[in-house]
Amino acid sequence: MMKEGVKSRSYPLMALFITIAIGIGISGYGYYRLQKAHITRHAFEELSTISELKAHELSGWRKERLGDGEVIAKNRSIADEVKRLIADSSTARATQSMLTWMESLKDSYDYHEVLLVDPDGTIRLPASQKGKLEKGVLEYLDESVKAKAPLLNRFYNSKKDGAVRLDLIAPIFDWDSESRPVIAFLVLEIDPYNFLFPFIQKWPTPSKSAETYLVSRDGNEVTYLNELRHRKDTALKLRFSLSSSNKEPVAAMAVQGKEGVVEGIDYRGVPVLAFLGAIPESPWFIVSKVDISEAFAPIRDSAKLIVLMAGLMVALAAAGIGFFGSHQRTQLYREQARMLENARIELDLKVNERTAELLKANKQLQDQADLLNLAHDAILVRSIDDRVKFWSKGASETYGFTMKEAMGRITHELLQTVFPQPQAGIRDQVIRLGRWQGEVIHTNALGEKVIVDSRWALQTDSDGKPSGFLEINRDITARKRAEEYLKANMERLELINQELQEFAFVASHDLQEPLRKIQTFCDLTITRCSSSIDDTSQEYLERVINSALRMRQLLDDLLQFSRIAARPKPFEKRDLGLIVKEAAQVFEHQIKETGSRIEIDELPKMEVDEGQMLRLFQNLIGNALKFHSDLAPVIRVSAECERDRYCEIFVEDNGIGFEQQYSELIFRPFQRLHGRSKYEGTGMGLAICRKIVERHGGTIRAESEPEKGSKFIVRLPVEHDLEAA
Amino acid sequence: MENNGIPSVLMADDDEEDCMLASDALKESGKEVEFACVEDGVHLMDYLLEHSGSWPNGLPDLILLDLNMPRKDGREALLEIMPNPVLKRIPIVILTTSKEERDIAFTMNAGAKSFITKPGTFNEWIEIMRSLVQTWLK
Repeated sequence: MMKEGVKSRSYPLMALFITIAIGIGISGYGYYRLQKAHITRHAFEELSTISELKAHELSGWRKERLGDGEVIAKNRSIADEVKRLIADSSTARATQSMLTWMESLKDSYDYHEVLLVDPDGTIRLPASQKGKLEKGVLEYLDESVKAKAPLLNRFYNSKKDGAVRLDLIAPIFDWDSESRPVIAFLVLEIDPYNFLFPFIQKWPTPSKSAETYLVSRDGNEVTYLNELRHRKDTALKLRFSLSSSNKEPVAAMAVQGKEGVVEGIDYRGVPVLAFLGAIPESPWFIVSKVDISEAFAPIRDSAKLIVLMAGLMVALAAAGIGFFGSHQRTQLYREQARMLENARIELDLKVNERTAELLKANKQLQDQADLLNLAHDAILVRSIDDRVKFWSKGASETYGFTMKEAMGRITHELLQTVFPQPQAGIRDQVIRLGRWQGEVIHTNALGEKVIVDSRWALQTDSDGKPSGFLEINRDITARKRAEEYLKANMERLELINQELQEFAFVASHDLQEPLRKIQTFCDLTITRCSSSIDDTSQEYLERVINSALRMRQLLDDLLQFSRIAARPKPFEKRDLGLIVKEAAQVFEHQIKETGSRIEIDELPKMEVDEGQMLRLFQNLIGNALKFHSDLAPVIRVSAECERDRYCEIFVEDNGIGFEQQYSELIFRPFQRLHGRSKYEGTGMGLAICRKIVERHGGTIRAESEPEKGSKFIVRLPVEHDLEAA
Repeated sequence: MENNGIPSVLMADDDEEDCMLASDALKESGKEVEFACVEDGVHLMDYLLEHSGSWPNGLPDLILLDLNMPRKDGREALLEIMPNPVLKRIPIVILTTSKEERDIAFTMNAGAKSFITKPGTFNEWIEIMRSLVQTWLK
């Protein structure tokens, strides 16, 4: 948050700074241009001033020399002296006075040497110089004659001593003659090194590279006439031809007539600023030059200064802005520090709040853990790699391992788990469906086997990834054992039952046999021997038969009774109405004879053993018909069901009824409420009914009042669990 | 059928008295019928197999078969008779004390023609014999 604030504030500052910098830059550059122009102009001016000055001076000097010559040339008395001398060269006095005069010329006008020369160039005086004039002078004598005026020659290298010389040639005329011929020359040798060269080379202002020099053109060559500043021994020696190079020194420009300020290169090839000019009435061109680097050095300096200044200003601006920015930042920081402090205080509060909450939550968790520890069941929490993370008290009690011993252990290793299906499959299932339940065999700390009903639930983290397992195990070892015991017992019971069954069957069957014989042979006796037995005997025999028959019936009933629970047929959903109708059909004949009526209402469909239900209703309906009153028997079969779970079926009759106090007694085996003579029957019918009803998981009871008919209520479940069978 | 043209009835029953009752009742039926009784399935099969070659001579016209006999009971005998191409032509009526559903079902499936539970009175015996004679010995 802080950085953003600073940033957002620094953008305009940056912009401002950039603007200022650009402004400084532009003005700096402008100033630089100004300065450059100024300096350039100044350089030009200086050059031109100096150059023109020199040129002017040189021109003046030439004029002076020529003036000197003129004076000499026009001096008649000298001319006379010369004439006289020539006429009589041996005159020592004339010679001497000439010499003296020549000497005075030398001194006064500062000539190096003064020579009196014949028109053919022979040197007359001084005697020490006798000989011919040098070529450099000689060739100008004719020109002086032609011009009838003094002139200056061009610089040349003296053969005598190699030095550079310039001569003033003053013709001496014969004034007496009309044509005024030249009778002699006065050659005044000038040592340029004396005044000229120094003058030329001198630069009035301190400069490192500036110089002036003279150049002249000889045909296609340019000759440097004086000593150069930057090169030694150049007078008359340094020369170049005009067309030789593409980059001509400024000297070339000068000799070609260029005048004024130029930029070019000098004899060194260095770029120079030069002022060029021609010395009028002379073969001389003057070049005043200064290295551009020197000339414009001020510009560079200026530029440097400007840059420095600009830099300084920019720096200042930057500093200023920076300072401002920093100030702003400081403000921002301060503000943010304040905000931070507030936030911190708030945070503190929140932390305290949260700590309190956490403590509370922790306490809750602790309480929950305590609660978990109350449970008898073993509660384990495992990590995703099956290591114990929580081990409840119940777990310690169940398995005998303390929490310390169990923590971090792999559960199925610790408990030597035997799984009902491959462990990988269980794990997959839990991860896929989140749950698993099954019976698992563990081994406790004592090495004993513990059978548990194990329920697993998958723990997931906030991303929904599996993070562990919750396992709750209930020790069912005792139950299992009991179950097995029960199962074993039941199997035994079943076996016994079956044996009993067979026994009952066989017994019944084998007991039936003799009874049948009794019955049959008594009957035979009665029918075949009727002639030989009296009525009493017949009656006795009939009683025997009846007894036999009763016993046979009893045996049948007993057999039926014994069979009801023992040979279970699976329950199937049946329409009770159809069963009851079928049961009633057995008594069809009887019903017709007695004028009875059986009303069968809508009866439900129920899960029953059809055969046994048939027996049940046969017994009930049979009873209702048997125990009729004087009225024609009316039997009503109806049903009431509650919530499709249980139904009560009512068999009502209008028969003789019985006392309610006997309503339980009548369901006992062999129980009869009436004597044998009144109503036949073995007393097993209702016992059989009760057995059948109980097998179906229901109840049967009777409601009755003497003379008021009876109502039998059969209550049965509509459906059975698998276990009931 | 014996050579003399008189129908014969062969009864297999281990109970002498029942044999006697059957025989007497048969006499009362009105028709002249030859009657013999063997006491178990072994004797029955021996006799039948002995005479099976001379069909129809020597073989009975009706077999009355009790189910519960020693050595070989009626159920076994039934199962031995039925596959036999000659013997199976003889009508077999089960005459037994059993009232069991399963016995009825078994014997009917096995090919017995009728299932009769031994009656308690002699008159019933006579009725049964009369009906059998009428049905099987014409």
